[in-house]
Amino acid sequence: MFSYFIQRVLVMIPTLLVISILTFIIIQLPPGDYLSNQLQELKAQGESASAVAKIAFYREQYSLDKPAIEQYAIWMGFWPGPNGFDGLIQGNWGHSFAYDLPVSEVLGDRMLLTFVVNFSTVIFIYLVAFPIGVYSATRQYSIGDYGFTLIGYLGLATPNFLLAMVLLYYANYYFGLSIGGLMDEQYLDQPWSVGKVMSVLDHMIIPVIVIGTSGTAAMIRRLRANLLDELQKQYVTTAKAKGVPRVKALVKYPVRMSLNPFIADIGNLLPDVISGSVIVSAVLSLPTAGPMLLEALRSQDQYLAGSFLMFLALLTVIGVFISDVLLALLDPRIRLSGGATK
Amino acid sequence: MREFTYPTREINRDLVRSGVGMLITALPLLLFGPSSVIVYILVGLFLMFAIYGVRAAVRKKTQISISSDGIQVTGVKGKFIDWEALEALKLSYYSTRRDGEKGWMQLKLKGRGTRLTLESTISEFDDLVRLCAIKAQEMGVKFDATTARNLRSIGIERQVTPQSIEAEKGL
Repeated sequence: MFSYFIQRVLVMIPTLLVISILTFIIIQLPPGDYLSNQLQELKAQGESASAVAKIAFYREQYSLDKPAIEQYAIWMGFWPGPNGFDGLIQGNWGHSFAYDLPVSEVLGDRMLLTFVVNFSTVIFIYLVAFPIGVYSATRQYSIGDYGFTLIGYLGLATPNFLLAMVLLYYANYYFGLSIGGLMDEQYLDQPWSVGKVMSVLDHMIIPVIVIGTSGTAAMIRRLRANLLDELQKQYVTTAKAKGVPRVKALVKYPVRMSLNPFIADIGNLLPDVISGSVIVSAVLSLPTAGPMLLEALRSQDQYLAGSFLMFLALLTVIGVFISDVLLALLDPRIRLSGGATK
Repeated sequence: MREFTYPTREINRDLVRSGVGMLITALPLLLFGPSSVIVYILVGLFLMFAIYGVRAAVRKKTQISISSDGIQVTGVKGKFIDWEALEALKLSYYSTRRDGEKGWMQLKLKGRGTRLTLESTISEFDDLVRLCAIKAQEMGVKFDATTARNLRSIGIERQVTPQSIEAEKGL
């Protein structure tokens, strides 16, 4: 297992490097940059020379006047810029031109809230999908199975933003739940307190349901299909014939085996949920990082967009790593064919 | 007496991995002055690669001997399990692929407080497992269902004894 762990870490490091190069290339692909656009606007408005000078200062300060390769190396912290080695690996995420603040300050609480919302969504998906998937597989073609299948298809087919708007209206009308945002207005820009946490939890119900619905539906279908495959195998029939109790014959091997693809998806689930929640966050006015990324990409705010994309890539790589290690550890560790190989 | 070792090619590969790992974690530490969080991560990874290298070096010196008395591991740290004292044998299989293929095996032996863990990278691992399994069966060691299946997958059929029937009931 240690060898496998080492091999995976060795692959992860160059993978992240390649992703950082691709991220930088993608951000650089559109012609011009944020400062060029600003300069054009200022010139069109006949703005003062001081604003133009400020833009020229930024261009020099953030090395935007240098070749792309050098810009990349400075951004990553592999090459000294105007302030020496001062890039991602030195903990400097860069400067957001749109907000005129360091990226770390711009993201600030948004990253925490993004993490809280998306982590809760992942937990929601697993908690809801697992029992329903097992129930649907063990009660195949029952009324309950048909009911959950129908709900699953509805969940897959309904656009998240539409569900968000419908739920917003009804949740407010019938249950008095607050509309939009992730906390009550009085807690905005306030330090964290019990009241603020409770307000966040209260506001999270709708976003978590909305963002998690399609993922839950997909998970239910996948778990049901996997478990049905396992339940039809001979070892389950043998176990039942030997008098192994029904629940034990289900949980001991079939459920574990059907969890394999379930766990293999952990790596993709987190970035999928984050990127899938961008539109929902915009509809629900959630102060998460998704809408900010969208805006940063649109306005070519390259350091904000680049740092966020790198963070997403890191989550994906770590997620895939965790899912692979879990897969290796998942019982039952039974070999399917002969010959010992490594 | 049969003797088994870790193949030189495999050991060299591990040493190269360890070296490359230490290099790519040490270079940023020395050249770029990373932030404290990155320093912790890189130092942790560097130590992990170093431990991996030490493990490969230890394996290079390791020799496993199976005799009629027991199984002996010689090298940097010697261990011996007398067949008479053998209490448990477990053969596990690890795979990271969805289809469960292309994984690796691990043989764990336990006897009188001594534990041995041997991996399928050892040359002629199938023979090693076979010899241990035969001795374990002679000593009346019960195999769990997973071990029994894994043994069967490398062509080692279990003898049917009252103990094995009991063990299989646990599925």
